[in-house]
Amino acid sequence: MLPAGNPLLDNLRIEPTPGATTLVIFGASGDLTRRKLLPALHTLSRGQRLPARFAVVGIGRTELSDDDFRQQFRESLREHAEITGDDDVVRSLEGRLSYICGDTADPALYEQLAERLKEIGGADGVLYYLAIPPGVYSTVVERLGAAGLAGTPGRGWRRVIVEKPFGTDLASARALNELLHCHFEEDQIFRIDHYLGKETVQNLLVLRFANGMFEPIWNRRYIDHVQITAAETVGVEGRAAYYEGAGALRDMVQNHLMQLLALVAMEPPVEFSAGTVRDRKMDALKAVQPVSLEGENADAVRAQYRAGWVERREVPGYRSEPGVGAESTTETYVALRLRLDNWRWAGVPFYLRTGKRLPKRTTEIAIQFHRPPLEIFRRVSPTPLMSNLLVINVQPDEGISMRFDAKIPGTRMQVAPVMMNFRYGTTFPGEVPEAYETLLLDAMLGDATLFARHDFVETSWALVTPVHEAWEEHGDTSIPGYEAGEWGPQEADSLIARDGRRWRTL
Amino acid sequence: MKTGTPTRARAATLVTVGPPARLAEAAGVLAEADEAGSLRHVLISTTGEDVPDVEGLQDVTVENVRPQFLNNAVAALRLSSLPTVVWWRGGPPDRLPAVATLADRVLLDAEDSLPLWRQAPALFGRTALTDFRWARLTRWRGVMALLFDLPQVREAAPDFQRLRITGNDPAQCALFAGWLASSLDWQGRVAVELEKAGASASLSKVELDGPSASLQLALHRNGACLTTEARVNGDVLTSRVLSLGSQALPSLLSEELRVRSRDIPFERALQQMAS
Repeated sequence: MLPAGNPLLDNLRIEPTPGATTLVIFGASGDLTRRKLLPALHTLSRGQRLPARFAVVGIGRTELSDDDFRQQFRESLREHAEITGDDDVVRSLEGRLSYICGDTADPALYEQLAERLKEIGGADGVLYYLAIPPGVYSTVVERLGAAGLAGTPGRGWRRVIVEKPFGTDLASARALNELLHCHFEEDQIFRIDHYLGKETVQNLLVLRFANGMFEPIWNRRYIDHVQITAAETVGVEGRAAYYEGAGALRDMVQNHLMQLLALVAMEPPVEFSAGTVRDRKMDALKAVQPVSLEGENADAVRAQYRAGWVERREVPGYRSEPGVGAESTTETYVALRLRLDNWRWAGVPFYLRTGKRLPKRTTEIAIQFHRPPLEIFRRVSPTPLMSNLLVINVQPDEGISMRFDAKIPGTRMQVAPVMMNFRYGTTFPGEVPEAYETLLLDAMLGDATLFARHDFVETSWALVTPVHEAWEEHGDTSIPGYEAGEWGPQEADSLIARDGRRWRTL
Repeated sequence: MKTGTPTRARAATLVTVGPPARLAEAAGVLAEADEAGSLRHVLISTTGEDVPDVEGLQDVTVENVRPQFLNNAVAALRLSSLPTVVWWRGGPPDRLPAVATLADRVLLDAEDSLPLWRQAPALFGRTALTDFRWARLTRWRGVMALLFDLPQVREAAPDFQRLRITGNDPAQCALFAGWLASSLDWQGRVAVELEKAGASASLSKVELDGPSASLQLALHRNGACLTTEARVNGDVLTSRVLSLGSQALPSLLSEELRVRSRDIPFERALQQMAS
């Protein structure tokens, strides 16, 4: 007899592929499917990362035949992956696509889906992808449960990927978790946060826990403060209907920035597994103290962009964007000062900021270290010394940079800061997988390390919901502004300046 | 010895060893390989003739080195602060051990692999060794492994009786057979047939048969894909067309340069061939 595992996978550089899987996409005719999911499937197939027995069942309200859906697949490859050829990989994958048109509230749809899964036959694993508006999640989950399609069968598995936003506040997130848990076990639920699929975010774990030199100094004794920035140059880009109900706090901070914070702040896990990594992230998040909203010393600033100049053109203010009300108080910028009360981080502020229509599209984590206790070169070097800095560039231009002081060559003792840069693009040439490729594959493999757990989502909402509610209660329309193309409002500068610090100019 | 401009921020020293014609080809490959920009290059001619000059590529070229001193040249030019990868494109096989002990990884790429493969097992504990013939099998191995992910195939696997491999490179075909035999622990139970055929493809078809199951991998007529089929009890369990990926030397080289560790299945496959 052969051993229980697959002996041919031993040290095979082509990484493990999932067992037989059917991917069921709810929202198959939608934007996310076209832009991200279908191109990701093609890339996975080209890289032989899909199982030998693989099928896709698309579900949507739009009337499409199987052939129409396959045509949509080709179009999405052409538009979003620049694949125009008619190669055999495209044809082979295309042959595995089918489509069911129906109303997600109609139980008959789920009977049809059950039939289709039976026809496909031997689908050991079924992965449901909810690429649909959040308002429809509950209907689909309930119907899947009622049709007996959610429970894990004797052989194989059933899993569900839930897109963000996962709730709109703590209460709705709890309600959604409760509903999901009625029909799926927690280990069947994969809450996607595409930031976690990015290479640099994963590399943060490697940086911290595969190197012996960082962990000893990764604490309050050596680190002065941490800045996490997620800046976008775009405005609402036709998503005003969604964004008006969300705002930067709920769109970016509750999920992406909190995930980055947790990865920076977490304790070392005892092993690289979903359970332990997510446990340690939870510990870090639980250490975050409620955000103070008291008067002038408030630890939260919101703002909204006004007309300005960004991306080499003049752009309108937020309130002039199509679909946005003239008195909208939806924030397009947030800055927070967070405190973590634990042994590692007590007294080390974490400054978070995110905004639309900022000068550059960039996401980074900057770890600023304390200055040396004694500046012995102060008298001989006219240049003021700068603190050491470790910058993790999440996007674009992924990499890590370290700033330290060096002597300027010459007979005089002069000191200047220099940067030591590591860039993925130059050190590891070749294709970096898209976040959706990584995450889809991980979900098929059952690896939840890069997905958000229910308690993380709820704890994160518990932190930001009071801030949002306080802003809502404020009720007036005098939200601070910043010009499109500026690095945020004056109030954000004041927030960090109170501590004698300033934001990095990126 | 000619020395180029020193470079910084390099990820490894790549020492390419071979006769000038093979070095010239290597230089062309390096110019296209993604990883080449992050390498410090050393080219060593094994025949005493000039190393072809390729603008902007060589950091160091070494000529007029007698074969018995190849290892001394490598010892002088390697940097302790960078991993050393040797790309062996030719040269006296008996000098391989002395050079290999100075390298963190050795990529064998000679026209005739067999004399080197005979030396290889003695080097396994000292350096991470691989061969481009093995690298060209990566996709084939991956696709075969995919079929063994199917429980029905694994159940039928102990009863396989015959392996037939067709291709025009007997060494590569034998290596694939060695990998299957060592990975599946056949111990001589399965009859292996190697057929030399095909105009250009080093490997064109693999058939593995037993009383209840048969597996087939074949090079697609377009040369860029593999067709796969698994039959169990007469039924087609799966049938797919999968990309073979790029088999061009620059791609293979880039892929190999990303690896630093020993390749145990390769070592076992060679040992299987030797036995």
